[in-house]
Formats: sequence, C-alpha cells, structure tokens
Amino acid sequence: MIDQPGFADSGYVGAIDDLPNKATAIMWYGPRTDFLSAAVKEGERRGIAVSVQQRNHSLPQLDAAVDAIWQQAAAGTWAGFTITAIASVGATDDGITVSGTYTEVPATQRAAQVRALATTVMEYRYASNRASALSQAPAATTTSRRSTRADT
Amino acid sequence: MISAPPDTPVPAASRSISMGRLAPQPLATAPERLPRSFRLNQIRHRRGQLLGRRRSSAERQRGRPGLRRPFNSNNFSKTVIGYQDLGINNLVCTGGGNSGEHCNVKVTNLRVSFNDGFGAFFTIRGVQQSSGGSRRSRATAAGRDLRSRVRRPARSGRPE
Repeated sequence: MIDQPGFADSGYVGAIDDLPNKATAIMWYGPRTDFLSAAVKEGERRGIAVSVQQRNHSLPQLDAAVDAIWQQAAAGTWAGFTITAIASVGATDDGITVSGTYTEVPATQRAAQVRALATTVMEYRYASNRASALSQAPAATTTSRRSTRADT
Repeated sequence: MISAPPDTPVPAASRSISMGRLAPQPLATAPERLPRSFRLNQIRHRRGQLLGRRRSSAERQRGRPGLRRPFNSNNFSKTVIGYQDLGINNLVCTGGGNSGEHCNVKVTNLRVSFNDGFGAFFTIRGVQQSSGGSRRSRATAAGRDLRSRVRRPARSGRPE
C-alpha cells in the first residue's frame, strides 16, 4: 500500500492484521476516500476481510507531536523525567505513550505533565488513563522504568 | 520491515537478496549447467531462482537446538524473497551478532521513536512469543534435559 500513489496524503495510519482469520483492520484518519475504497476492494479481491478502524489523529499529526515532545525534552521542559521512547501507533492506543525513567529530582520538582501523567502537545489534548497505577511509583530516586501514557 | 514467510510463493519478478554466505542471486538462467556438486546443496524455485542453501552436516551440528547459535555466516542465513507492508500482529524475525536469531516476534506497535543522542528515529516494537524457536525456549528445553540427567543416578540408588 505504501507504494501506491497518494499514500503520503491519505488518512492511512496503520493496519492490524488477523493472520489466522485472514483479516485486517485499517487504522484510518478522516473521511473515507477513493484511496481507502481501493484498498478495501483490493483486499477483498485477495480474499482478505478488510475493516476500517477510525483514528483521531493522522500519521503526520502524530509524528509532529512526537517531534514536539523530543524538542520539549531537549529544552528541559520534562523535568524529573528522562524519555526513552515515544510510541504512537498501537492496536488499542489512539494517542501517544511516552516512556522513560524518573530522574533524581524530588517529585515536587517534576514537570507538571510528569506529575499529572497527562499533557497537551501542540493542538492535541492528552489525558492519562493509567495515572492511578503510576502514581504509586516511588516518588524519589528510582531506576525502574515508569511510563506516562497520553491518550486523546 | 522485511518478512519472509516460508510458504510465500515467489513471484517471478521478485528480487532475491541473500544474507550470510549467499551472494545476491537474481534469476538463474541455466541452473542445469552448474556442476552437480554445487547444485546439490542449493534450494531453488522451479523458475530457477536461488532460494537458499542446505546446511552441511557440520553446520547442522553447530546449529542444533540447545546450543548457543550466533548469527553469522557459518550457521544462519535467510533469504529475503519480497517486501510487504508491516501490520500489528505480524510475526517477524530479527538477529544480532551477540543475541542470535529471534523469530516469532509479534509486532505490537508500528511507530516507536527513540533518540540515541544523535537524533530521533522511528522503529517498531515487538514481543517475543512463548512458543517457537526462540533462544529462550531452546535454553529451557536444554535445562530440562540437564535436570533429568542429574536426577537419574539418584533414582537408581547409586552411592554418591
């Protein structure tokens, strides 16, 4: 699909394959287009059951948000937290997950989004649904990996 | 991302990229002209395309389960037979000089950004499945064999 003309401007985010059942779900942003219809039709021609899963953000939006987070981290606005990875296209996550480790900074001096386990990047609003579990993490020095999760 | 399911039919126009000892081999025009000793250890598609090479007995011995099997040109090679879009839940292989071959890795995220200090880049995330030919499962099997050998003398009542 990546080789098809118009892919870069399409709403394609990714695909979730179901190999045993020969099915796939296309993660899609925005209204249905001819590109999507052609993809579904080609799947049917090959005997693949194709469904469409609507997403709230496009790939360019997700990439821009990831870049913005890295830039924020470089600028020091993620105090108390060292980011190790940022994941953006998962099967169930319709948003961005920021993973990292707490630094040797008192919990009270951590950045607001680190304490809240939620943030807003660019024009997108992120919230956390794992805040309760993560808030039980050690507050001070720790080397264990913790993560903040940002969902839209 | 590249994946090479073993049962995928090879289209005539597909590229053949080989790793390990195998040199890149496009369509062979006249495989029957090769010496017999050279042909015997080759696995070819019916169109003549070189798909792989049978391992010698010495190579199979080095690569038998339970032993450390590094990823190198002596005992591991996989031929890439084509490209396809990667999706979540796909099973892929990876290999490293120290960690060896890891197959049966299920993709869980298609876009994970890391920063190695020289800049951010995207890769995928996968989870090693419990079954299959992973090094962990081979090591577990070897451990069971070892325990059974150790217990055997005690059951027979031999003095220690």
